[in-house]
Amino acid sequence: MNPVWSVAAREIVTRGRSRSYLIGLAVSVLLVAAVALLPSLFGGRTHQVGVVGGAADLPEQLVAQATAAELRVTVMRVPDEPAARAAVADRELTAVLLADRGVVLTDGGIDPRLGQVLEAAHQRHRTAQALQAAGLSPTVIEQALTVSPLVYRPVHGDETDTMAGFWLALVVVLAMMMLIYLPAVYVATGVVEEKSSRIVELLLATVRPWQLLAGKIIGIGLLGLFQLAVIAATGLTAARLTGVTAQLPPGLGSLVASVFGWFLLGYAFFSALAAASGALVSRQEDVNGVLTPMTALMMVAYGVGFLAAYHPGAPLARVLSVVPPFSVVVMPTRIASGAVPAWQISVAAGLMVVAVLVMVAVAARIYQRAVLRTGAGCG
Amino acid sequence: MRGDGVLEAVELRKRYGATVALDGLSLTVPPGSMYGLVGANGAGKTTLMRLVMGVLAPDAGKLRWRGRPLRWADRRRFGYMPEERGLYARMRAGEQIAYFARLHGLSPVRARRVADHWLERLGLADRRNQLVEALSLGNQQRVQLAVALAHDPELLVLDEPFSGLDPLAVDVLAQVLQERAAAGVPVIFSSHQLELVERLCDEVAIIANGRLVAAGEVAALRQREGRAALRVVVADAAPGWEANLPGTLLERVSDREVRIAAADDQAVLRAAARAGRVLHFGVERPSLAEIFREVVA
Repeated sequence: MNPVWSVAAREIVTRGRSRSYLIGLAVSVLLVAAVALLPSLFGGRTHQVGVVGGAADLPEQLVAQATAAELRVTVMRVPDEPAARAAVADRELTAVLLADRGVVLTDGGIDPRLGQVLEAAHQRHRTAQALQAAGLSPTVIEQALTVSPLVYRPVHGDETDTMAGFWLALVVVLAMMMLIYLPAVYVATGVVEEKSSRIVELLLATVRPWQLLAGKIIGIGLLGLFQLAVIAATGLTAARLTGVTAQLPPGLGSLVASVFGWFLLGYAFFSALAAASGALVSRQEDVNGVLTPMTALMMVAYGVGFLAAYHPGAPLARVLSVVPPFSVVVMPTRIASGAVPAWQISVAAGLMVVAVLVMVAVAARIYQRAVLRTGAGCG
Repeated sequence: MRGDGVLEAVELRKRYGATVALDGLSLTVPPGSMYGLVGANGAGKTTLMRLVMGVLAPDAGKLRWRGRPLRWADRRRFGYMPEERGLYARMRAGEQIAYFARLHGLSPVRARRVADHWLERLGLADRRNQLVEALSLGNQQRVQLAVALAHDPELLVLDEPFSGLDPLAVDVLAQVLQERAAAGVPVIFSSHQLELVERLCDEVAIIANGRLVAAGEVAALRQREGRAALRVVVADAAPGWEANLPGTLLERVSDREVRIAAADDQAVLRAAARAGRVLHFGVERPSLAEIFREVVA
């Protein structure tokens, strides 16, 4: 068995069992579940709507409008206005549309989106009635009233098409940096732990420094991925249960998928940098200080990613999208906002892989020197 | 130099800045021997062990294992107990031993089995699932030793393995090491407990200032190095009687007892008989400690 995997397995077992990891996992699962469930707790419920009078297909029309607006509505016929008043007063129904009078009975307030749905159904119903009175056949009326929704199309192919896309790219890149940062810090503290506990000499007599660091980076990375997977599964499950999936911004799935590979490369690079930094000190108190350059580099990368999200076509963004480590944030942003030649993506990924290997080699070299630094004497 | 050494160090040099740790040190470890490294603090013992384990690289000189240059793959089959003891504090004792066994290439199942074996052997069976940080220092040391032994190494390199152990643990450790040596595994260890080294070791190397000053079988060293001492016990002698003995007074043990080095032991005996009633007269080989003091001074 390759020592790299033994080292990775140790990281997974000992950290995965630690109280801090389990608590962190539980808290994040609860948070995500709460965030996903919140919308349904505040108005995500099914609206019970009554209809008095109107055409026979009015309830169907209402449901169709509601579905288009991603609102869950059940519609029932109510015989007359007094019955409708009683039902609303008793809160059996959210609202009742008195179709022939153009009135909606409510309990005082109403979800604005439900209002829009009622309004649209009402408009369509009255228009159809008027057209019918003018002598048009139901088929012609149906055709006339069926209009496709507007299509939004950006003029600049290379620019972010909407502000929503810009913010989306920003949030995804920020999330990526956060997800890289925390495990990278764990790698650094793990390296310092080995130095401060002085187990480093025994380890170096047993495995190569790069095997040790690679195993550590892989193990901690896999733990982080597992945590991410659990959080994602929780979020998606909660979203499905409450039916909010359709409200997520369009293109999120593909963006996240394209970011994933860059995330792995970014994690490998920054965690190797963290390992190299950690190997410079021997006390946990010094970890934060020695990680400052890495943190600063990540901030710069994020700033560059911010600019690239705003102007993916700018020359600077094009250049930085192949320069490690900025490529891990800039390239996915460019890809998300338009076509990028395959060779550029390959070059960016290739350079990033080289940068990771160099970083691991540097970290291993510094780590090897640790014996001399911690060595009490030369007896 | 003997040709049958399993491990040979040839002209090893290592310096840290201005400090010379090893100054052309050469030695030969025979197969299956208990090999003691003796030397004052800073003599170069730890540096030598670190070079053998590949934790440090020599500035000059060579290490040979079974007749060819010592390589990394060979070292993975060595067992090491560094001077700087170190274990993962927040890892269970049994897992820690198994982990290092796996790093040395054992399968997970075998690693667990050897971990159990050594926990049992070193009297730690009931501590298997305790975190290392919860163990006493002596027990941590036993875990450290189990880590060095678990993968059935072909060479043991132990830096001060006996320091910090209670007498019972010393006995267990001594027994384990003698077993390994009897099984053909050379055991190199350093110690300041010279009587222990004398009792356990087949061969010793005395190191001073990064050089080998004496080496060989303990008995031969005692023969060769240092002068034999005479122990003389005389009753009813006048105070100051020992001044009349020919030779060099090594130690005045009591009013009646002295240790003395002399070329002509019969002359000493005659002088002692003149001084009083001789209760004891015998030749004593110097202890390792005495040889050590003599060759290092």
